[in-house]
Amino acid sequence: MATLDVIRRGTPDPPHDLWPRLRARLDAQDDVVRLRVPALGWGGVAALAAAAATLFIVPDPLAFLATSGIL
Amino acid sequence: MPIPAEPSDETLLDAWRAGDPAAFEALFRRWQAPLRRHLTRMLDDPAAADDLTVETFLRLHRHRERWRPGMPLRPWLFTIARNLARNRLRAQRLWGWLPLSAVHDRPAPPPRSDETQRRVAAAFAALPPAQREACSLRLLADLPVDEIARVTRVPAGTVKSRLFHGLRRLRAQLADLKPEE
Repeated sequence: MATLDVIRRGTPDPPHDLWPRLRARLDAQDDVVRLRVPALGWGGVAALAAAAATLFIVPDPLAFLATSGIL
Repeated sequence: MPIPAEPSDETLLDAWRAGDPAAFEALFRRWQAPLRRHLTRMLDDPAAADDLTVETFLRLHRHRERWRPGMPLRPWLFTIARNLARNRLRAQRLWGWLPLSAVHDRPAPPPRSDETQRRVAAAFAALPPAQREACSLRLLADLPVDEIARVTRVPAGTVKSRLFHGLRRLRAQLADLKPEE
């Protein structure tokens, strides 16, 4: 317990209060518009994987996209 | 006359989420000192500890919708602080590798005038990081072992072992300091 007393005495709480600083940061945040990108679901992951796989599997991806009407 | 019980952290969080801003301030005032003490020991830099204490509550504010009833606040709060501290230490190590660090653009921590403060800071700094973290959470933030285990993501037995060895080292380092002066 003596060590604990020494440790607590050796780690004093700073005299200043941080609440005004936090309040100011929160007020500043209110002026910022945050854009949230929707989470990618399984469908999105599967579509991206299919697109990426197509690029590697198809010998000429640009021609493939053009002939399939995407480009 | 019975003394009214202090509302729990979770009650305050619930009240805040329901639209009571005073509950958030009460939470901050309750936890700013333990968080600062813990972060000061983890970073060995009181100014950085202040920054991260504020940042921890900003993150809590931003992600408050993730809290679910029954989820204890304290481990969540200290986990946020832990992640922020780790990111900062990682960034400091990265800066240390760069030649720009020779410019000394980061201010050094203020010198500690008090001998006890200096010795306690040195004793914690000499501990292995895992023991320092466990001892700081237990002794300076008053977290119980099971919550330390949740924050640090190790079994409770590992926390107890870290506390045992860390406390033994701290006692050895600080044995000559008197508890009351």
